[in-house]
Amino acid sequence: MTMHCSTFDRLIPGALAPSAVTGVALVAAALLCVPAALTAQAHISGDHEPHLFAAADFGIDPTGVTFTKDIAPILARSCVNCHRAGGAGPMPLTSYQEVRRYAARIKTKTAIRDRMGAMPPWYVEKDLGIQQYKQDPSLTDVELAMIQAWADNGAPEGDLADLAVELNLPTEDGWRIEPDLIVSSGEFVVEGGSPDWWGEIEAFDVVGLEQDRWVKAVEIREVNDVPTRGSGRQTVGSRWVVHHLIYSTGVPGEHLLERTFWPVHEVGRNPDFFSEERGQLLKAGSQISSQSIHLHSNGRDTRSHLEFGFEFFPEDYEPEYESGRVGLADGQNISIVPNQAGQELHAYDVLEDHIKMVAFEPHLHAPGDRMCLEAIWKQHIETLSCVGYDHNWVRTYSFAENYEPLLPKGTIMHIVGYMSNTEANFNIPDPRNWQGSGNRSVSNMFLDLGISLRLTDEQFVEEMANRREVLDLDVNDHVIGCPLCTAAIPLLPELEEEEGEGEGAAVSEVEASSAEEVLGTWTLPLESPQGAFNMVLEFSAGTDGMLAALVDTPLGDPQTAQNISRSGDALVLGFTLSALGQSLPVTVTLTPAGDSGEVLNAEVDLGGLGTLSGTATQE
Amino acid sequence: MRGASVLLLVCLLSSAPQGAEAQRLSYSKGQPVYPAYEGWERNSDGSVDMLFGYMNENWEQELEIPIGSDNSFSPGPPDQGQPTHFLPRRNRYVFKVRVPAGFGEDDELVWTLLANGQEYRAYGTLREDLYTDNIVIMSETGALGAGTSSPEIRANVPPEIELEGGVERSVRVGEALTLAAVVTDDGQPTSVGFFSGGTDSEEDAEEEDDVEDDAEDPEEEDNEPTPRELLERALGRGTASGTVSKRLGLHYTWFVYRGPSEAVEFDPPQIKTWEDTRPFANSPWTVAWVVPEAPEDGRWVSEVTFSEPGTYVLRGRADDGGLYADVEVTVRVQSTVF
Repeated sequence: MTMHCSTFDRLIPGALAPSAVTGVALVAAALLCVPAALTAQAHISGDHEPHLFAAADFGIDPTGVTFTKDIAPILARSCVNCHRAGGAGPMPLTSYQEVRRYAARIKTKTAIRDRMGAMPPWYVEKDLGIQQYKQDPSLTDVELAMIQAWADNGAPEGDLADLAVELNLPTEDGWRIEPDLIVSSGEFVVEGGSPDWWGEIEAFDVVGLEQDRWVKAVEIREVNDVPTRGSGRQTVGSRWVVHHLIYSTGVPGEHLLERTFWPVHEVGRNPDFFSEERGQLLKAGSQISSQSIHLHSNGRDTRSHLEFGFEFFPEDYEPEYESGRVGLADGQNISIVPNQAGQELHAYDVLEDHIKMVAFEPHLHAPGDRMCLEAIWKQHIETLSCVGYDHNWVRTYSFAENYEPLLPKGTIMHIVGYMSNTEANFNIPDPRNWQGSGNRSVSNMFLDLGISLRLTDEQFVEEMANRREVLDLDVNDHVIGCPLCTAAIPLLPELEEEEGEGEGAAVSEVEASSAEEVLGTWTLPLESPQGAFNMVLEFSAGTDGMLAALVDTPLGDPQTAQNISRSGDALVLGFTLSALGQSLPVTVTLTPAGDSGEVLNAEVDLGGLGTLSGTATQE
Repeated sequence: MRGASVLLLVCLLSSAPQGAEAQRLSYSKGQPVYPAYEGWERNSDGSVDMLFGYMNENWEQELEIPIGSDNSFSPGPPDQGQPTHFLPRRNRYVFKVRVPAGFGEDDELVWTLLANGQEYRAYGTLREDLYTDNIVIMSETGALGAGTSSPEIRANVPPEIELEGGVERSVRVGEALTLAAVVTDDGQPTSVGFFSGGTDSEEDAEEEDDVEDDAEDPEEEDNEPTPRELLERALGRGTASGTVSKRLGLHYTWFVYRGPSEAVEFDPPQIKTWEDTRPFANSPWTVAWVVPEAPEDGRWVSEVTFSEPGTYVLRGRADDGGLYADVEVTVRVQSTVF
């Protein structure tokens, strides 16, 4: 069902700017003198060689490749969703007559395969990393070989009796998910020649939702009046004006933290698929709101609106996992020199929980050409995915079920962005100029917006056991993105039963009777580089007769000391400081100061981040 | 630029060490300074202001590059108001060059800069993608935080500066010169709530107003972070950012625009106008930077002392976090022997 909701109108003010200036061709031969280290990168825009194959190498007679038998099935699966009447593609490809005239172009565009300009716009490199993704429209080597042989051989039609697929989809279709609910924003207008604009949209109702539902997939489509051949502007975003939308849903009046934040919509985006273990909650009575829509003029006055499609899990669905967060970004310190491809950006993050990575979503801007994702566990560095990038068609790459990376806490995540500031990158206005960071479409961002789930120890071990079973893994098998998958760890509940202890139980090696001098409450004033605060330590005798301690700081709830021991005449206790969802291991070392026993010298080790010293006094 | 000379230049640049490899490292000195073309604004009379800045790849080295062949514009006079003193790292929207209404789509204004032996150019053109207004400026400096904005911040106007004393001063080496400026501002921007859910109804808006009214003194709370907040800042939370991000709030600072900065000492030390993103630097782009408390009368006073004779241009910048205003003072510093 299609619901039309409250409108928001957005008219971009500003004078019309002059029409686009034809780019000045600088040097076609510049790439000839790129240093050897860069030419070694096989996937740099400008150096990128087309993926050409000989049909005969696959045992296929090139003269026997026909439209009806071989090409139409490829088009049906990977092309006509957009290349149809009313679709986003610049020309329909729904009949032999429509396709034949574009045979050479189809050969060229598909042979680009994994770089900007490729069709279909899906840029996973096939020679490294995980290869299993949801809704992967990419073409196999054999399919490319057939297209190339067919185009080179005059694009024969073949026998109509061989045509076994339907290329003419209904014009109202075109969703790539199966939406149970569709809501539309109001229309807005972006004037040709206006500057980039960022701001809010008026909140509008999610009409037609009678009860809270967990969402399995969401897709946003920009519907506008731009001719399917584009606006005429030759740089980024010719086809679209909405370059990002950060949005949330929630019932009016509820607290911010109760709202649902959705994956960022970006220019030319494909759908998001959530994990079976963690959908996104869409509440009945919700509104869609945003304070951050980025509009980029495409050079012509454009009327546009957004359609939101939601596909639901069954009504009795309940999520099992918590959402996780991987902060892979460094958009602050970007420096991209003129006239050079393959310029690398790097960002890292250390996992503080085990994670199941559901999707990899590179976000760059116009100079973006490629991003790779790596996982570094101990000394092992493994590439999980490398994908090309085109800021006209931003993709999220949802890993197929049972191929999502399962990464242990402590893993270092690493993204590498490859930026192309050259004439070969048609998205940028002038490659002669240096570029830095910024929010404009022609400035630069650098981050991964992918989805991850946080796993407990039990969930992590269970996921890996399931992976072993589903993929029939032997102890000598390796799975990309799962370094511990074949570690043969038994399920943790069994382990806990054997040991009879739960996770996180406090361990004290000090009998309370031997530490009577510390029993009671101690106040420890500490001076951090940013200011003073008090740590309060409360020592008591546990039911087992061992010394126990409770530590209170202004940083959060009181924490029970997880371990207490002696080191010489010092008392050493450890606890975990939790603040803002982060955990920090802290060690407090208390040493008697003088003979009175009323004062203790204290050193507080903040998990390697620094040490604070002070003197504790007993209350 | 055409032909063999261009090819030679590009080859030299491509093989220089400052490319992809160099960017991974935090060089203190020796790296190039890239002139940056930030975009263009159209004026009501049809003229165009071209906005320039620069990126000094060095984290420590400041360079003095006099106007001349190493620091020049073309066409037109080589001096079009650009700096000769280059602070570290990214400096956005440093100066404007006005070009007349007849400036065409095929015309270009070129700034050439040679620093640490490496020459780069910024090409000012009227390419549409680079059309700029105040919203773009606020966005690009990080005030809009990933593109979150509101009618209030979009209505922001730059601060105004009333400089006390003349724009030309004289002082002897070692003597303190007092610099005072009264800054007024519209109070915007306040803060931008990234991912904020916004106000969904008038009732909600009223409730929010009530909450604000009930607070005893929200400004006082803002200025006195709790120990918890301080330690959280010290632990460097929330440092990963996919784009430029800046702390908001009015401040005023002096820096050397022309002349050697090693001979110049400000008291108190000035807030950096460059994007020092290292933790806990005195820069609005660093982690948990705290906006200084503005003087009640809006009068910002600093002293400056020079250790070498010469002519210096000092620039005072009032920055409300989103937009800025500049004043310049030329100081002729005489040797103490006269």
